[in-house]
Amino acid sequence: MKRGFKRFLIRLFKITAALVVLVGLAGAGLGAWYVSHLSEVVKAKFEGRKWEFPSKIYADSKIIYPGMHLPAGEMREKLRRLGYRSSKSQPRTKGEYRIYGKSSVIEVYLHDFRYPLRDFRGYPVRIALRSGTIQRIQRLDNSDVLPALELEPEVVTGFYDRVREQRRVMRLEEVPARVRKAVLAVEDERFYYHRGVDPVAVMRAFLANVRRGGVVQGGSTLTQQLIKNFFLDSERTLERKVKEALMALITEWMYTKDQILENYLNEIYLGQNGAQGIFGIWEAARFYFVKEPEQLTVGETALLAGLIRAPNRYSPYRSVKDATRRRNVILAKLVSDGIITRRAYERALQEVFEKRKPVRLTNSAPYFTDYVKNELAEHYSEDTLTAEGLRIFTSLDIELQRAAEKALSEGLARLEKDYRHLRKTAEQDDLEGALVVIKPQTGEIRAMVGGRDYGKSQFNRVAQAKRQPGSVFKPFVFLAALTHGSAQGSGSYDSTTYIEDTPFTWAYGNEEWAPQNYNRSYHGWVTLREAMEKSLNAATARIAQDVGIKKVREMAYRMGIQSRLPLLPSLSLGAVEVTPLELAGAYSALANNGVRTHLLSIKNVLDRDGGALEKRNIRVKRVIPPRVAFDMHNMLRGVVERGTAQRVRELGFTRPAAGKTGTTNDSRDAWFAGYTPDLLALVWVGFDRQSELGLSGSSAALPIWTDFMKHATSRLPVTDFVTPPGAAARRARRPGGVVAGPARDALAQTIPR
Amino acid sequence: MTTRWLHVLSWLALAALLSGCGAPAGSRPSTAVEPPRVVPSAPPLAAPASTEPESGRGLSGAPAPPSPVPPGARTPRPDLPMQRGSAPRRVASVSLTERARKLLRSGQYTLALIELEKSLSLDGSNPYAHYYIAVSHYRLRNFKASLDFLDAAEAVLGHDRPWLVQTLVLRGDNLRALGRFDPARAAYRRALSLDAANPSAHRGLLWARQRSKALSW
Repeated sequence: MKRGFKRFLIRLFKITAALVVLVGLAGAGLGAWYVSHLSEVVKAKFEGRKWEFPSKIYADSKIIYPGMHLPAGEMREKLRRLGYRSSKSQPRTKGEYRIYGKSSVIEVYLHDFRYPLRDFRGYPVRIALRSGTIQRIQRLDNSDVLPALELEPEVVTGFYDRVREQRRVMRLEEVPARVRKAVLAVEDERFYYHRGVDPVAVMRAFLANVRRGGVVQGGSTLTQQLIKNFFLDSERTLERKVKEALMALITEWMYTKDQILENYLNEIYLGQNGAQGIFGIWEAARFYFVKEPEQLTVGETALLAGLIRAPNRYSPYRSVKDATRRRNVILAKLVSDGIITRRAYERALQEVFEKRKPVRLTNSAPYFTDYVKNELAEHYSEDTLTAEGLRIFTSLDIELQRAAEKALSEGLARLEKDYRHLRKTAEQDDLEGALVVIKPQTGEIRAMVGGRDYGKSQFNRVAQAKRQPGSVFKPFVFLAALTHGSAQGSGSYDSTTYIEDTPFTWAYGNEEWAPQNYNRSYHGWVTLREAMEKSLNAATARIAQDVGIKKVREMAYRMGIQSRLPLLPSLSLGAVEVTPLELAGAYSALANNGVRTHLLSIKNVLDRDGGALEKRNIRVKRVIPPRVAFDMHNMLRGVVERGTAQRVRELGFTRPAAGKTGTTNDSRDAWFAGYTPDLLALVWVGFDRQSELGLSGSSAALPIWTDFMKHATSRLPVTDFVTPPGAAARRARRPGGVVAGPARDALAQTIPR
Repeated sequence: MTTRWLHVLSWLALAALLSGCGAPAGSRPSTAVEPPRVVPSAPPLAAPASTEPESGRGLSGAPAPPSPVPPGARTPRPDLPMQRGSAPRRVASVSLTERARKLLRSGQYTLALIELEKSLSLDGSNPYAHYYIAVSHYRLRNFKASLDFLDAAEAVLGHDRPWLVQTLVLRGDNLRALGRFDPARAAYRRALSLDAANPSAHRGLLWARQRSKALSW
């Protein structure tokens, strides 16, 4: 019995031992598998794409020059938006400026900036002003007098995915030693002595927490913090802590201390600027102190290190007092650790953080950036745009954009105030508008306002809305006539050719069309010029009939209209649908001596390292002879001087200008397209759901155009249009070459022969 | 619960493993941590051309024909004239054009083009910007773009005879490079009708004639 029991015990022991060994082996196997799995996770993160870098859209750079009107206040605002900081003494480091001498002198130490194909190294300049006009621009480092100075472009917005992280990655050797030491002193002073988990720190934290009766101190190493930020949430559970520690050990085993520190300094969250999170040392130095890390003072370095624990609590933007207190704590730690000298410590204590407001990155041109994004989508994927940190340089002029937005919103509000029927209708069809601004000689889109309120409607009425242009289309009919002459063999056309403005019927196929003038009044024989100035429908339709509607359509296409145009007589009066952007592009050829420019919004695209991915050149194409372009342009000047757009003058815009009003027959759309030698702007006013506007282009769109142009050109010298070679006087004549009487001579203008 | 034990077991196993082996982290070769650079499929930048049509070699690489111009004659290279009292913006724009000319002379054609586009953007009526953009495109072998800009340049420089001659010669050079010898000859002839001694027009005309003849053989 005893022997049997003994044998049973031995067997039991053997079975138990085997089970223990089996369980142990299985556990070790599982553990090994889990470790290997975690190693793969760590490796994938460290060696793959760690962060997403939103691509940034830049406006055009600003060139300033002697003779330019630029009051100190405007310059100050511009510098603030560009991230320059005010200084009380002469700027000594990049990014500083001061304004002194009763705002007559501005000194700026320019930032470095990576332009396409060119790295600009910042230097100090002095800009002398008199009565708000630049007198002289001089470099302070070598005393060179500059004929012009380019200020770097402003960031308009970034392309974000789900997370809005602002971050610029630095290599460890680029991070100043003082910043590195300060961060390590505050966050993990035994960083170089542990292997991912620091038992000493854990014990110290445990004792401190027991003493205080709660969690007051953490024992996480810098590596653990990095792992937590990379992979884990902030949940305080044993499971997460174990996983964190395990991954920290793996990380330390797989990567060097320097690699871990570099990742930490780029990963760490350091605050919030509106919707954007500030991540990494570089971005934080820029956000809080408008400096690069190597420019930080001892005090600023200390605060930066101190911010890691609670960035929003110690932010100097929130409370200068709390930030100063936190900085002093860190400074004390730095001096006690021997990282800074006692003298540096005392000097740093004297530093004062200025109470400032952060420069918020708000999208100042949302319709334009949507348009740019659509253009980019042809070549770049969504993922590339939101994660690869491209730098996209555009044609946008921030100041003109602001002026355009203001003119449109105030203009529409004024219309609603003056005309009750335009206020919100029962179907919630709000009065809308669009404004686009183009530089005629380059095709650059300088401003784009696609609607009244981007928050309410992201539909871009400049680029997406197809509306009837009405009389704004007439110049294409006249251009076809000036270029091709009569298809019926009755001779060529010029601005002095007579045409009949009387009711008539145009038969086509089995149908008939009877064009009518705006208020059903007809003028008999009129010159082309008069027909254009008074926007006479019957006369225009007669010209189209004489020239041939096919030629009219060809001309519209040649000028840049891309929408499909039907071959119907009503095309001559703009009874088709086109976008405001197409029309503006087509008008640019008239403002540019018959040379059409391709619309340009994106100029350059660089990758994150500054490599050029794309350069889009200014492209031009002669589409009509200079003689024809100048003839047409002269007629459009007449529209402003004597015709349907003379309200431009009544509203106080006195510069040389040309343009055309447009109103559709059913009064649903009001237009004005006009230009000066420098700028072309087109305004549309109407309702999205086609409610009746009941106003002409002259009443609804023209005042907005005038408002905008007055502001946009106020800083520019008054310049006149260039007359092409060979211009000469010509008298009015009837078709067939009959010279008209003396009364008509008053209309004769200088036109090219 | 099981997962938690699994963590603890793995941690202990790894701690044991690491305590006795493995080189210090600092001595291990570093592993690349920078994210890979993704270059999306975008049109490439044009490579700078090395063509110097006035230095004795033709665009196609063939030696240029001997110049019929008497020794001592010099291609007129007008400085950018500025009238007294020119608008400040024009002065600034022309200064950018001057900077671009220097870049052109040093063979940095793409940079010159960028500078000239800025110059034109600042002052759309700057006639020299139009002309030198055409020159930049010619150097970059974008002959059609160069011709397009010459159209724009002629409208603003046509009043000025020396500049008109320059634009005509450049037009001829572009047409010649495109193999359109008849219109090229017409452009050179028009230039010579305005300036009979223009060496570039003479040279271009002769070369276009010879090329035309060679092709007709």
